[in-house]
Amino acid sequence: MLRYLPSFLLLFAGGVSSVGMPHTAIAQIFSPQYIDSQSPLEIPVNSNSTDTKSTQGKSSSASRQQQGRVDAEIKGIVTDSSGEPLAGVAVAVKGTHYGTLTDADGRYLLRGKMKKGDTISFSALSMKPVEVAYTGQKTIDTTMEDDSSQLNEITVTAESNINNLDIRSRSGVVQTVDMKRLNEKPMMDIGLALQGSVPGLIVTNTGELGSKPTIRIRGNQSLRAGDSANEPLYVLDGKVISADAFRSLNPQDIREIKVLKDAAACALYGIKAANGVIEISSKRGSHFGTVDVTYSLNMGVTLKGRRGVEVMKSAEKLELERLMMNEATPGYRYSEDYYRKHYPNDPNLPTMIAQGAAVLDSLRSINTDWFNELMRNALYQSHNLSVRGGNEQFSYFMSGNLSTQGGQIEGNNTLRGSARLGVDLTLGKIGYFTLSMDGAYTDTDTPNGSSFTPASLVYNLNPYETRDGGKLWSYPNRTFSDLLYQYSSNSTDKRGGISASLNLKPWKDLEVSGVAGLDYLLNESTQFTPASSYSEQQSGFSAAELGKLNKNKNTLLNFTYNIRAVYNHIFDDRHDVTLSLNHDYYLTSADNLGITGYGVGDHPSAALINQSLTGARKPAVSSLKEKTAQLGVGAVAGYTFDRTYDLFATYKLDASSLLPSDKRWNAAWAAGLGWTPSNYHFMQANEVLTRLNLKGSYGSTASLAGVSAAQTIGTFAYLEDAYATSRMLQLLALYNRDLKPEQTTSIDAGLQIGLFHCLSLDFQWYRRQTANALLDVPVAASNGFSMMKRNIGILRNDGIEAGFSLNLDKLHPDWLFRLSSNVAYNRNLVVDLYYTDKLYTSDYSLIPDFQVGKAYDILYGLRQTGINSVTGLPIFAGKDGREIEPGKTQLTRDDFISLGHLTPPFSGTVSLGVTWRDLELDADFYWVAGGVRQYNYTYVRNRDDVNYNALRGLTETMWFERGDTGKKYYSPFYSSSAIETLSYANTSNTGCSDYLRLSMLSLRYRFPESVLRLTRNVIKYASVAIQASNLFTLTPYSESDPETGRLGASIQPVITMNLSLTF
Amino acid sequence: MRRRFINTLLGSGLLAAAALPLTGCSLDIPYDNQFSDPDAITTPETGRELLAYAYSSIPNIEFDLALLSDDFQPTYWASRNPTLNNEYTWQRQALIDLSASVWPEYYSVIATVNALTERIPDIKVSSDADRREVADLTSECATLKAYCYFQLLRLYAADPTGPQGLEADGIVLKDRLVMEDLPRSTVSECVAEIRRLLDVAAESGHQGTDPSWLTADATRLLRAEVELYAGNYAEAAEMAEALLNERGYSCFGPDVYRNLWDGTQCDERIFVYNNPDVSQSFYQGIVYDTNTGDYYSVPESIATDFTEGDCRTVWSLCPATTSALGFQYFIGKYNKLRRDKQEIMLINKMRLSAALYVAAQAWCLDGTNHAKAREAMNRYLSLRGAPLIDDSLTGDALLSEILHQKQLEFLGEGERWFDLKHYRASLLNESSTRIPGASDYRWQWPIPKDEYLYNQQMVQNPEWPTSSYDL
Repeated sequence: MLRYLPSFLLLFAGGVSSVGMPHTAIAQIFSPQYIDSQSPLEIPVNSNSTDTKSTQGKSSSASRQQQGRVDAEIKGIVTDSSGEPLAGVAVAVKGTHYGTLTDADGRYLLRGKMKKGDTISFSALSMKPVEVAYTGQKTIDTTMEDDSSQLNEITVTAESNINNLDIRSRSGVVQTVDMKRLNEKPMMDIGLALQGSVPGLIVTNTGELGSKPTIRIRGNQSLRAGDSANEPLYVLDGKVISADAFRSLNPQDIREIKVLKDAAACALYGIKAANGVIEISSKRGSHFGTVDVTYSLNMGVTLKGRRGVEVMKSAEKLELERLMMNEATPGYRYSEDYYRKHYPNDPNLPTMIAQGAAVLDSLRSINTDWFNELMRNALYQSHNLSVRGGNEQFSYFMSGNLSTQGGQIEGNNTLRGSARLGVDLTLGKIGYFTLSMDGAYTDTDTPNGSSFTPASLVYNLNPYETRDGGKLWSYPNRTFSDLLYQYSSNSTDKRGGISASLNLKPWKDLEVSGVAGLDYLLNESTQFTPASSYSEQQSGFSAAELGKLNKNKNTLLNFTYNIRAVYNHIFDDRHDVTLSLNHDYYLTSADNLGITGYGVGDHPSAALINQSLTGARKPAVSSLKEKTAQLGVGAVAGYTFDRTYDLFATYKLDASSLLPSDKRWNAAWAAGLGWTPSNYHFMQANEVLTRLNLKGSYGSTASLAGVSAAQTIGTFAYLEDAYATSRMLQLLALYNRDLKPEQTTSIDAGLQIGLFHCLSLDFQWYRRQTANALLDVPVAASNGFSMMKRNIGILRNDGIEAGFSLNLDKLHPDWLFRLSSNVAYNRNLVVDLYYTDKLYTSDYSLIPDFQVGKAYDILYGLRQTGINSVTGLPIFAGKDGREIEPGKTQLTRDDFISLGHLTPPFSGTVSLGVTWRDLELDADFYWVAGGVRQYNYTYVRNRDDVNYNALRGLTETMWFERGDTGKKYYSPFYSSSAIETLSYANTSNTGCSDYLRLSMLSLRYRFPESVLRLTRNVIKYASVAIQASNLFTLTPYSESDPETGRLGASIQPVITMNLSLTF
Repeated sequence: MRRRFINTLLGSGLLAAAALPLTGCSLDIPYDNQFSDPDAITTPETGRELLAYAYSSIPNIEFDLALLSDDFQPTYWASRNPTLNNEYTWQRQALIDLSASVWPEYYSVIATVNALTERIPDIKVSSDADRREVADLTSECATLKAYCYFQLLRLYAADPTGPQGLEADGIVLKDRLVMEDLPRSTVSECVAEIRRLLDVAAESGHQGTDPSWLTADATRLLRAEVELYAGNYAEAAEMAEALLNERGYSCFGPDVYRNLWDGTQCDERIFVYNNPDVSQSFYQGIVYDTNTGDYYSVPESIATDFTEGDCRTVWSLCPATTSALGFQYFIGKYNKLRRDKQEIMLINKMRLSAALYVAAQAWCLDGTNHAKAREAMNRYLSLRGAPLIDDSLTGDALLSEILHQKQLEFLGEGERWFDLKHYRASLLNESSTRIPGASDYRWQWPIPKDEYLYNQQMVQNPEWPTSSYDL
């Protein structure tokens, strides 16, 4: 008789595991291997663990098993053969409903009614099940062995993400985010929280709270900047979602995030995955018949963050004003210099001087710290409530979240509410049905606009000015209150998604699965400049025309379905063959509608737009609707010999509606090899080298990211105005009939070493080369257009990623110590440009945008050799050492040199975890190195803008008069002809943008059983923690923020108290 | 086992059934508000809409050309606007900047015309009206392209009266809507191409009368202008005369003239620019402040040549006294509309007066028809209410008077710049420090950076920059 597992449950567990860890990332696991008394089938059990005992046979009925049981609890740690803790292992008392799951540290606490002689079972996917006889132990630690041979016995896996084939990770690079650590960061934005989670996944903050970070996997694949050409593909429970949808996810609802980095892993998704894939799986219900209700609260404060630069106090500022001799500043206007110059012969001169000195004295006595005045500590709070439950036929997970965070500046706030429901249903013995639904609401406000940012006031307002001191010197004719409430912007995202999957296993070796999902995002944004704002009051328009409102509604619909058949068979116990076919479809539809109107006064309501206006302030409507689809078919083949050698090949053909039908089909393919010598028999008993695995892959994929139909084929759109009696249809772009998709080939090699069951080392090397790289390049004006999208060259990303992880959890029962670190290095290079050696994307640029043989993110600038002590202006060394004087020497393109990389090529993390009994300390550091950035010199003033506050110490470090030497900053008095040369980056206005950040710190205390018992077991698990994110950033980049390069936009520290309770 | 099989079959069937209708859809997904080939330009209506965009893209350089010519003098406010002042004084950089926008704008019109020309064969016609409209579109495409070529030629090429004559470098002739780097054709090749285009237009036989579109009369007037430019005086005169006679001299009467500026209907108009959204800012550049005056005004020497009975006087000049400027003759026409708080709806691009002046110049230049030139001029001037030309005038003196009258007629409309360029050897007063002498390189505008940096075949006009950092 065939030997089957009667029911193999794949659990998507999350929430709280038995040791009270509320946020665990738990992998898919087996159900307890108990035997249905009705089942005619037998169970294969094999365990060679020395401290465990194999059992076999049929169990008696559950009711009989209840007899003689008493309340008991068992705790322990489950690890794999290399000593890594195993998360998501199902631990159960056989024949009962008592069960639990291990947490991310492999710990579990199993409570229930037991009696001696019961069997405790441990089961997890790809692991040989383990059973241990219960003899009254309080602690059972166990080790589980890999069991790939068992794969053929898996009947069905309830997996929404049906591209998550086990074979792809044997030769491809699939890395998993540590969700436990991710959830320890009190950060609302899951995108930012991913920073440092996986080597090669580079997340960069771009500004104030609520702004979208850039997320890249192993660098930019395209010469085109921006997200549309370089952003990874986000897949949630098998459906494609947008980056904005991803950012609205609540990290606590996520069971697992996988980052797919190389061609072998990504090729299953076809050409849409050319920039890598981030696969997200949501948490699922449990099947133990119990209901867990978990509430978790994070309450804390968002701190002001670091000061961009130290600015002057009143005494120095007034002295600077005197030196700059600007009459619009009090430091000069009331100075003795001023009176002596303008009233040299006035008999009242001494009186005037004395009066001026008195004014200056009173100003000197005021020292407003505008950073403290304007920047604030704001509230951070996050509430999570989740309910998990179910039984073997039906399980569910429900959750709700509400989080709010305030930014540095009054008026910058973000709020998110989200809800999720996941339901799993067993379809008899042949399959599973899962359903996931979620919705989210996010709301972000900011007073920072494109033309005016209150954050900049910190560096502009003078220390001798006050909130209620009347007209300001820094902003003539305005009071402090004229500077606030000038502009507000609000953006809300309303998102809803649903996905359903069906996994069927008609025969032992064949699985047929399908998933379909729909994701809908409605973004509404309002930008409002009230009529009472200074800019409107000064605009010169009549009262009926004041108040500007811009309102946009953007909807984005993503629909995906994917059908896959997988055949897997093992011959002779050593030949493991997998064949798979799939067909998928992806449709995205964006619909934007925007209105801009005037005359709304002080109310941001579109109903108040004055529609009678004509001319520059007439109301305007804009709209864009774009719908694209991709259709694909793919095949995968995999072969593993004796768990030692792996071969993997995948081919996917995709057709995109973006291209004309003759060019529509493009391919993505990859092949990979894996070799695991540690699985040889003679190696298996080796206690030193516990794991050794090598793998390599090669792949090629086309990419059409960021390409639209207008660039490949004649495409026309209507304009808003009319000519004579006719509407106007405009040709949108000079289309390029020869446009080819970008073609990325990648080679990857990896090595994994496990030593002494506690140390693992991991190395990856990759080279990705993009040929036919696309870029909008200038074309001769006689073509009727200034730009055209062309295939212009070849670029390359090489990189190395290395990591180690040390787990010392067996040295002492009370102690657990983890240390891991990784380093990623990415080097990019323009290998070839098809039409030129240096590419300038603007006719006025002196600096090449791209140059053959150079990286594509180079900051070019001038070499400064010093400051001329006579003119006070910097001296630059140009081509062949010629001396360049600003305003006098004409610059040429050859004068510019490379100053360094704008994107830091090195990044890494150091993670530390220490557990002592019920106390747990975790810390994550993130660092980047090797980048440069031009300083934001707005705070270095010249004569024209010295009415604003300036960098502290400038009176000492700036050149003011002939003979000044050793100065850092050049003269504030220069002609307008010098401005161009002065504005370029140079060796002295550029700084190293490296930084080290304490990105996470968490100290958690789990309440012991003795305490919980006092609640009469109403509370099953409880813990409290102090958690902090981005507590400090150390950097040699002395001015502004090294990450964003902006003065008022650094990532802000958050400190919270966390309370987590499970009922 | 069988049940399981059936279940699976059912399940798979469900999956496939759910998916198939969706995959069944073609990947030819039409945009909601964008139209791609081959389904975009398939009807006469969409063809017209595309052509409307081409018309709307025509640059309105009348004010800039007037500023560069001798129509204006600076007022006290002129120094307040250095950009305008640099242009007025023919500063090198100002001309580079002006050229940088004008060249691409004309080629943008040409690109749209090429786009339509390539698609006209695909337009489906189902009625005579459709066929008629397609013929009109064909005709207008050719005339519009010829118009742009002619404007470019006159701005960028050496005048055919110069030492190289018709063999001087002309402009780039673009036949197709593709990215290509083309060399400049010679002036004679350009003229030949313009003639060919105008022949195509004439053959299609435009039947419309709305001057917002380039009708058959516009084709004829343009042909006459081109022939005059190329020195074929007999043909120029013949075509212009035919047009004059068909339309009739009555078009030069005072009522018709007034409608040129504030009317929607005007018999004198042959081609107008008709996009009010663009027109409303036309001539805005001259205004310093509506109350305190303009940056530039009409010199008294010109203003006083308008007599009281002349129907053009009230429309050409806005005499006013302001505290800062004293008494000034501010330019009228579009500026008058703005001063009178009227909306500028239409910009006159071609009118019958131009035909009159083509004929008069041609008769005068071919040396045998001076009397005919005087007669035509006087017939027209009497209708305008202006003093007549002295019957004794002949030769250069007659030409000079014709050009003077032409300056008055087209004051502020930029025509004068083309005349200055064409006749500069005789017209220019060498003592003028502002307008460069006849031999100056600035009469040929610079090929803009956007062209010479990316077109390896491009030859820059003499003395203008050839590299990006060469000023």
